Amino acid sequence: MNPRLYRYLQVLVALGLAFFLLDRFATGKLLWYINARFVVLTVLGIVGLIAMSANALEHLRITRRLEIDEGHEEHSYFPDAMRWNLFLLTLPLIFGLLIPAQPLGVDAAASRGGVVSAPLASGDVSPGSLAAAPDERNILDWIRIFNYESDLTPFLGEPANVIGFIYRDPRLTDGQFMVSRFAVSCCVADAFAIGLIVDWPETASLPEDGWVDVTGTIDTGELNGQRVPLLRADSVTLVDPPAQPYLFP
Amino acid sequence: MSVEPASARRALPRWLVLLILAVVLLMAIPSSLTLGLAFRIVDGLPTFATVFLGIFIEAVPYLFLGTLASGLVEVFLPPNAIARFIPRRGGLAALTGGLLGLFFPVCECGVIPLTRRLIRKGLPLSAGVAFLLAAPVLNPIVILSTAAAFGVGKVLWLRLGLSLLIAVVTGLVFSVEADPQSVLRETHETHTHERDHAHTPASRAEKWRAALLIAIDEFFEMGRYLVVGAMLAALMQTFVPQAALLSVGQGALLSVVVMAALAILLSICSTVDAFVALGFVNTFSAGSILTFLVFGPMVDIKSMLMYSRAFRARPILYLVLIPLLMSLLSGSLINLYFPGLK
Repeated sequence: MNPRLYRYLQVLVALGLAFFLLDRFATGKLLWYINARFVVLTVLGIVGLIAMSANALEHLRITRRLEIDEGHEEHSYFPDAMRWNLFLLTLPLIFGLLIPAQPLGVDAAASRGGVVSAPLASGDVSPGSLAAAPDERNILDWIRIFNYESDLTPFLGEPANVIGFIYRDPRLTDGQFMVSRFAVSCCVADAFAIGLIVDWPETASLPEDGWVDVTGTIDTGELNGQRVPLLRADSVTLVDPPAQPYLFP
Repeated sequence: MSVEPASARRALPRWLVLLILAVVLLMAIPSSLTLGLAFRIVDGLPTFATVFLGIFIEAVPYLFLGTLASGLVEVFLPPNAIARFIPRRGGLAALTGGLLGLFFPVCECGVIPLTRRLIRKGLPLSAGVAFLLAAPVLNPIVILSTAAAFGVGKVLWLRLGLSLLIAVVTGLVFSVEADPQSVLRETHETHTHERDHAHTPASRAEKWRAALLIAIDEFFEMGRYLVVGAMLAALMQTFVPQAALLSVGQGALLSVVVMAALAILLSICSTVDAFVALGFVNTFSAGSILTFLVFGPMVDIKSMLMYSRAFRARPILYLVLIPLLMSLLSGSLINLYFPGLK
C-alpha cells in the first residue's frame, strides 16, 4: 500500500474514532459504557486522537513539499498486513454505528449469573450511603448497608424509594421480584447486577422486562431458609429507563 | 522499504490466536447449542456490542498515553541514558525494572509499546520483562485502587510482593538471552521512521511532531490487537454463562485455576480489577482472589494478542507460562497453609 494513502486512511479512521467518542460524550451515552469518573480520560483520548491526526496531516503536508522541492518520489510502500490495522480499528465504528446503542439490561444480568447482593467496598459502609436520607438511598447504598452493618434492626421500617429494572429470580416466591441495577466500577466488562428483593402481591401483573420505581419500607423475609432484608412495596410504578442506567461504586 | 521477509512473517504466532479461538469456541458451543444458536446471537448482539465498545472506549486513553510515552522516549531520551542509570545484568536489573512502574503509571495496554521501545533503547532484557509484568500492578494508580478496595493490609502487600517476585523471576529467566532484540518481532515501523526522519529532528516542536507520529503508528499497530481482544472478551461475556465457573469457588486448588481462567477471559484493566475481585470475595477462596489480582494484569486475552505484536512466539510462551505457573502455585499455597487470609 502506498504510504501516503495509508497515512490519509489512518487519519480518516483516527478522526472517525474521535468523532464517534465525541458523539457518545455529547449525547451522554458514554455512561452506558464506562464509569463516570473515567469520562475525563475519554476526553483526553479524544484530544489525543485529534492531535495525532492533525500532526499526521501536517507531516503529510511537509513531506509533500520536500518531495516537490527535492524532486524525489517515495518508492517505499507499507506491507499489506497493515491494511488489517485500518480495517480492525474501523470495527468499533462499524459496531457503534450499525448496532443501536443499548445499555446492559435484564438479558445480560441472566447470562452473568443473575443478580447478586455482593459487597462493593471493604471495611465500613461508605459514609455517603448512611448519610443519605433513607428514601434517597439507591440500590447500591442499601446493599452496602445490608452487607456491612452487623445489626440491621435500626433500619427495619425505614422508608425506601429506588429505581431499577425488573429481574425475576427463580429462587423467589410468586409475590416477589428483584429491583436491579448494574454496578460498573470501570467499564461494562466488569458490570455486575445488584438488586433488592421486592415483596409485592401484584408482582404477576408486572411486565417481563422494564424499569420500575418502587416505594415501600425495609423489612426482612426468608430466602432459602435464611433471613434476608427485603423491600416491602407500597407502590410499584413503571417508569422510563434513567439516562444513566448504571450505578457507580 | 522492502516487503517483510518470509521468516518474520512465519514468526507471527498464528497458533496462539488459533488456540485462543479454539478454546473460546469449545466453551461457547455446548451452551449455545442447547439454547438455539441463532436466537442467542441475535439476542446477544446489543450486549456484545456494548461490552466490546466498553472495553475499547475504556482502553483508548490508556493506549494513547502508552504510545505517546513510547514516542517521547524514542525522541527525547538520549541513547545512553538508560545504560547509565539501569544496572546491566542479573537480579539488580530485574529488580530495577520491576520497580520502574512506580515512575511510569501505565496499565497493561500502555506498558507493551513502552517496554518494546525501552528494550530497543537498550534497557536490559531482564529489566524490560520485569517492567512489563510488574508495572501494571506496581504503579501508584493501581496501588491506590487496591488499597481502596481491600484496605491497607495483607491482600495489598501480598499482591504487590507476589507481582514483584514473579516479574523479577521471569526477568531473570530472560537474562540468559544475550541479545535483547532477538525476542522482539521485526517491525516495519522502525524502518519507516528511520526514513521519515532521516534528518534528525532538531527543534523541540519537530521532536514533538516526531513523537506524535510514532504514537499514531503504534496506536494503530497495537490498537488492532486491542480490538480483537476486546471482541473475544465480549463474546465470552455475552455467550458463556458465568454461573458454571462460579459454582467451583471454594476448592483449594480448583478455585485458583478458575480465577486464573477468569482473569484471562474477562480482560479487565488492572487499574480497577481490585473492585471486580471484591465482588468474588464471598464466593471464592483467598488464594484464588490473589491469583486473580496478580496474574490478571500480567496476562489476559487482549494483552496476549498485543504481546504477539511485540514479541516472537517463544518469548511469549515464557511470558505467559512462568507467571501462570507461579501465580497458580502461590494461590494454592495460600489456600493450603493460610486459608483465613481475608
